[in-house]
Amino acid sequence: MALPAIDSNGSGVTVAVRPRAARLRSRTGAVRLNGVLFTLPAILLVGFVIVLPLVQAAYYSFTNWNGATASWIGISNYLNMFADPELRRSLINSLSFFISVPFGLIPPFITAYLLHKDIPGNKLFRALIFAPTALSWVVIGMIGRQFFALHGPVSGLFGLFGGTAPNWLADGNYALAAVILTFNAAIFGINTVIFLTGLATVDRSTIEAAWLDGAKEWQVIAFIILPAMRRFVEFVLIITVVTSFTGLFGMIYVMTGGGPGSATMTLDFAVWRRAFSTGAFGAGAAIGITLMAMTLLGIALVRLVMRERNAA
Amino acid sequence: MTVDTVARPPSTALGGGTRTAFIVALVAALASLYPFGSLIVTSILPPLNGHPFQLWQQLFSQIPVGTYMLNSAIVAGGAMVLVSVVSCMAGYGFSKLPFPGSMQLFAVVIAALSVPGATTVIANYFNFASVGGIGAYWAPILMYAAGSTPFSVILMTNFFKALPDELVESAVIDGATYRQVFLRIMAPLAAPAVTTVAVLCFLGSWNDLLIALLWLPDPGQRTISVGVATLQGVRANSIDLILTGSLLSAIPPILAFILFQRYLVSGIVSGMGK
Repeated sequence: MALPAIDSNGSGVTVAVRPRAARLRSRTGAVRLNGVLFTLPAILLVGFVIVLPLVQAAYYSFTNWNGATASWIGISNYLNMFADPELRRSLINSLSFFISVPFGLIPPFITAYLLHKDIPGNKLFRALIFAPTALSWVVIGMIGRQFFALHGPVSGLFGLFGGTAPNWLADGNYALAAVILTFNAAIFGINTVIFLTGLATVDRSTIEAAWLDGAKEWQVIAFIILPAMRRFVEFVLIITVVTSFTGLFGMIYVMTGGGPGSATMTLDFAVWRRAFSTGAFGAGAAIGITLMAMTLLGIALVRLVMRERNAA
Repeated sequence: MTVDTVARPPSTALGGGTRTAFIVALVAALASLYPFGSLIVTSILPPLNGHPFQLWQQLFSQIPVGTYMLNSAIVAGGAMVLVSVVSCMAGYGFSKLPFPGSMQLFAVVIAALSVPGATTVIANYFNFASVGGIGAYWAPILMYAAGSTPFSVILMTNFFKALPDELVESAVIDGATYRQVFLRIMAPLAAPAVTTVAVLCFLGSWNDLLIALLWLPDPGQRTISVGVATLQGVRANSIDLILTGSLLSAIPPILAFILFQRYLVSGIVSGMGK
């Protein structure tokens, strides 16, 4: 469209335009080529270490693969998740962790809310509360094991009040409670810090206006602060759900080894036990796929609940 | 009650009750110190008929913790460097150098974020075994780097998207190649984001158990996490020694936390995206 105007200026300009168009064309080529080259390493990593094994796992989950031979057995591995007592227990335990998630959220929120008030030393408090996040699940599991040991601090507290403490980690029901408690204590720091980041984004003038209108503290929290930081609450929920389903292998490995019996086995622990302890790789793959499906369902559930809350 | 709320001083814009807040925060902070305090006290208290620091002596004389720490440093450091380079490159590619299918590939990277490691670990194990990767350092390095790649690529892509396209275009018009633009302009600008990616990958790799346990079965190749976790099988009665080892294993991550705290919070929260 600009061409006639350029033409009227003389042929010299027209000559200058052509190479520019050609350069633009070759630049598109260069952009594409470089785009492929720069993203290729990441694509290869994701392709070979995440996408391909996922497809293989999906296939193996329908076989009785033992590491050497595999034959198609349909959905037996999946049905077995409900029939096999150990796997059924793992499923129930993973769901127990999932159900504990709201309890893992409320103390961090309250702490973050209180820390956000201008109290002396809140920077230091924040750093100290965040610090245990540096610890691995192995170390957390070891601390939990010592904490709930027969002659450990909890039992000592019992003795102080004249009671006789159970051997927490040796008793199935108590062991699961101890592991879930340790998990919730371990995520306290990171959740508090994320809530604090969220609180910092809430508009102060809205809150001040509410105070002036005579709103009560719980009203301000429920109707102004929580809706304003909805994305942060959703994020904390999602990472907590994902961790509770997929991140606990190290903690359970050292704290209870999944026991006593299968009392503290979760699905991610069961993948390891089935596949690498007993050689039932097909069954392990099916547990892994189930684990992923449950994680995705958990995330979808969080999104649904949060969206409804937002719409209401 | 109503009078009270209206009379809140403006300095506590989120409400009054500063004293209660202080006490709760103090209790929470002290409780957060419990794991560190308990590890430190356990490790320096003299065992029965022993002397202080005896556990540290035992740890270093009876268990090759130096080798374990070095192994951890190799795999965590290797994964950290690899994922930093790979995700920085990919972030530049996905944000500034579109090619047919790049949107779809980026969507695959986002989807890969929700694949749990436990789901793919079996197939990965056999794939790596078939190319001689079990018992070789490069294999867990690739595993850790790949595990961090989706999150890191998304973070880096978002970072580069926020930079103006003109930054690239004007340099290219001036005669620079896209590779030069990356090395001389984009990568230096991305240093804070790369730091975040690097620290998160280091922490995740250093603190992992499952992959190190499976990929490095040779006792001489054990990482410190595996060393601590497998100690308990060997010496079931000396939990205090294992706790001392746990404290040793936690020192590098704690140092990383102290040095890079602000990168960590911003990095974790940036995962919220969308």
